[in-house]
Amino acid sequence: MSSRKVLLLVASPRGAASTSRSLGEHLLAGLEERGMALKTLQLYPALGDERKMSELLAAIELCDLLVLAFPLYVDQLPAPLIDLLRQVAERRNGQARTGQALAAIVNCGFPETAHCRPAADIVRLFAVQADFRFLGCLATGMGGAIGNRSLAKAGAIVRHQRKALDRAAAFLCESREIPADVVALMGRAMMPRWFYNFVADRGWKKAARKYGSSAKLFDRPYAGSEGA
Amino acid sequence: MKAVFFKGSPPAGRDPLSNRAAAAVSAVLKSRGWETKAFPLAAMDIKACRGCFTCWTRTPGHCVIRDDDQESILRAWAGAERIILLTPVTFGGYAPELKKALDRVLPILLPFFIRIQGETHHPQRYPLPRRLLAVGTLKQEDAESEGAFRRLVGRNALNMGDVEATTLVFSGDASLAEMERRLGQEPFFGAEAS
Repeated sequence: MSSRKVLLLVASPRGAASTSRSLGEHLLAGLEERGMALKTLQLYPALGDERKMSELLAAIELCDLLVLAFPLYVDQLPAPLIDLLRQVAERRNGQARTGQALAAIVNCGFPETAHCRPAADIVRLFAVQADFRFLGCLATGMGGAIGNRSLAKAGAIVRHQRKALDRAAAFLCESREIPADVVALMGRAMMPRWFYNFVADRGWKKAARKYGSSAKLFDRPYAGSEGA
Repeated sequence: MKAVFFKGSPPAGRDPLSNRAAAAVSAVLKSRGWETKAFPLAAMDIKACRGCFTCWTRTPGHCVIRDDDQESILRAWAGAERIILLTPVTFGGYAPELKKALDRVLPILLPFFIRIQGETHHPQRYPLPRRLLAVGTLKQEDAESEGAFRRLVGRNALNMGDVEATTLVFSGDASLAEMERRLGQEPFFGAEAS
């Protein structure tokens, strides 16, 4: 059995209640079955906390496999994660290859997984520049359908994602690249696009009703002000 | 013409190439006489987005974080006809100095879904005929990073309502004069001052 160490870095502001964590933990379960030692850290609680950030950077240096799990923000990684990756790359500048590997899991709220392509590009280029061996990026749309539930509790809608993460674990534990068919499986739609969009739109209206803001949903508070 | 200029260079001195590009953009904007709101993002207090969606549900159009500098950006973006993003190309994307501001522009979108070029996107809360210019800098030529950067800008343009986008990447030791010349030739800057 392998005793290689995997670090799951959850880079979502929603932290433990995030879809990123749900997806990442499912992958971790598969890696644990294969004998890898697990560690999970959250990025956001370390922002502005020097000690926690130092611990996080140290943990990145000590792992054999780094798994980044994050939500898509404006077509790519959230700013704090880019900042962290830049720090990692700067610290490693000019150093010899470390033998570490990197994989990523990204989810977006749009129904189409294609929105995540730039994020996959960025993670891959980071890996190159920071001397990680890039093993692949698993991307899925319709992240809103998972919410903060574990994939086991999310039911049949995430069957493709569960299967993809299970299969990916088998490759990652051997430090092998995730095959294209597994990446494609991860990106398969959880439900028809029209249905996802219908439920999402209804969800925003329901939330507004709850807060008594239904009449304000289309408000333009800055119209006519500076620059407008 | 009303423009918003996001200066995503790292703090002064850390990246002379990016600072030079920012100076070149500023010079061209000045020469056009556009009404420009420039944001030196590295010096601004912009907290990380919380992913709470309050700006879509509880206080539509307003971010829940009110004790930092982001509101001035939202205010300017709402009426801008030209958006200019400047950043060192970072792993083929934007530097965190720029990205921290972009992560917080969710309030200028509506939560609902629309279809643009066959994909799902969000409608604009303040629809205007905008154009986007993205200026990236690379210390050394790097076709792979530049390609990723161009694709990312294309995605951003779609998410901004399929706006017309121009991407320029300066690399190596491009001089200020060279940058100004190339920027000045771009149709993005072609409109007369209003």
